[in-house]
Amino acid sequence: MNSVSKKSFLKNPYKKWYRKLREFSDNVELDQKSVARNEFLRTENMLLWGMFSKNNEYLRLLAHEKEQLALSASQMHGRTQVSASLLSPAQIIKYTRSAEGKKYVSLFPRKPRVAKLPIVHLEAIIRSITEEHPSWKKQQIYNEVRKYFPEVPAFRVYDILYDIGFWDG
Amino acid sequence: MNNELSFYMNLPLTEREKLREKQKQRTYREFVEHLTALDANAQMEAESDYLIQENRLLYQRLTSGDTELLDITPDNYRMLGELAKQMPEEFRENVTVLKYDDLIRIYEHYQQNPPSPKFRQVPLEVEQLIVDMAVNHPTWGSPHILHAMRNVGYLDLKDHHVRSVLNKNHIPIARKRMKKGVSWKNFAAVLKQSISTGVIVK
Repeated sequence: MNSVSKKSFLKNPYKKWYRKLREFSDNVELDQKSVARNEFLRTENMLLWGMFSKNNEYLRLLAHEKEQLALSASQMHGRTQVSASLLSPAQIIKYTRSAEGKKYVSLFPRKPRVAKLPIVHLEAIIRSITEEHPSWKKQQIYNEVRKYFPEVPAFRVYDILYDIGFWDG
Repeated sequence: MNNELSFYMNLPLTEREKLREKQKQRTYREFVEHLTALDANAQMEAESDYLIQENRLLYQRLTSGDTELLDITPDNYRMLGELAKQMPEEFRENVTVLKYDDLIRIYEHYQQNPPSPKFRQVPLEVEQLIVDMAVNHPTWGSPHILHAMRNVGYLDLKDHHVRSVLNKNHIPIARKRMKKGVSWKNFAAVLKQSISTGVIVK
């Protein structure tokens, strides 16, 4: 008789997860140093967003900025995984891979892609090449630059060379 | 106008209730799985590391590559200074808006010499109270803060006073303040309180 009445009870579907949550909350002990750091960073972030939103601009991120954010966002797991980041989960995966110079993750051995440098470093690299090889012509410099920036057009390199006073023509 | 009922609405009520219940269970399960997957301190550290990157990015944008000054108000210095003083030495380089020493110096200057109120300006202590309310309660918008201030005894306060104080001190609207969710400090405290009643806290 008893076994029949026991069977008639419905199983609580939340029980297992509730117990897990309870265990977590009982054992959660936050490191006070990290809490102080986190609180400061959150406040600073809020104020910076407040300043930024006054301009009423949409924050357009460049590719290298997305890569920079994705590397740290990919380390985020758990509660704040989705909500805290500026990037969507798909973007985090995409830009983490591109930051590492990967296109696909495969079990087969592949030649890794060359990591592209962000375009903001273009001028610095051209300057370093001209300092290293003062006798080079602009065409040679352009060929060298293409190793780092495969898609950069020649006129942009020549313009920068002109601006920095390196003009072989 | 399409008056046809959707597939979901065509189901009998009992079936719809079952589906809703299933969705609730799934939400609860996912929340608990996400939360308990990693140690809370590790999650918080990862969030802080991300926030540093985001703060630097915003700072670069706001100052046009560190060539312009930020408009930081005395009350901002108070908020940041109080929190920065509690930060341990190894994390002082994480401050983005200023160098740590400069921040503390300016904070102490304003503590000793508070700015004199201008004509028809909201008094300084009221301003600080409004800002603290907004920071401590991310879901409170300006009408909510106004009513809370009136409950405390500031009956002459108007809506535009609250809005202007928040705007002046670069406190974003409630919707934007809520984007980063509840802080880990508050979350841990609320979780411990609410676990006995089985409330989901996100």
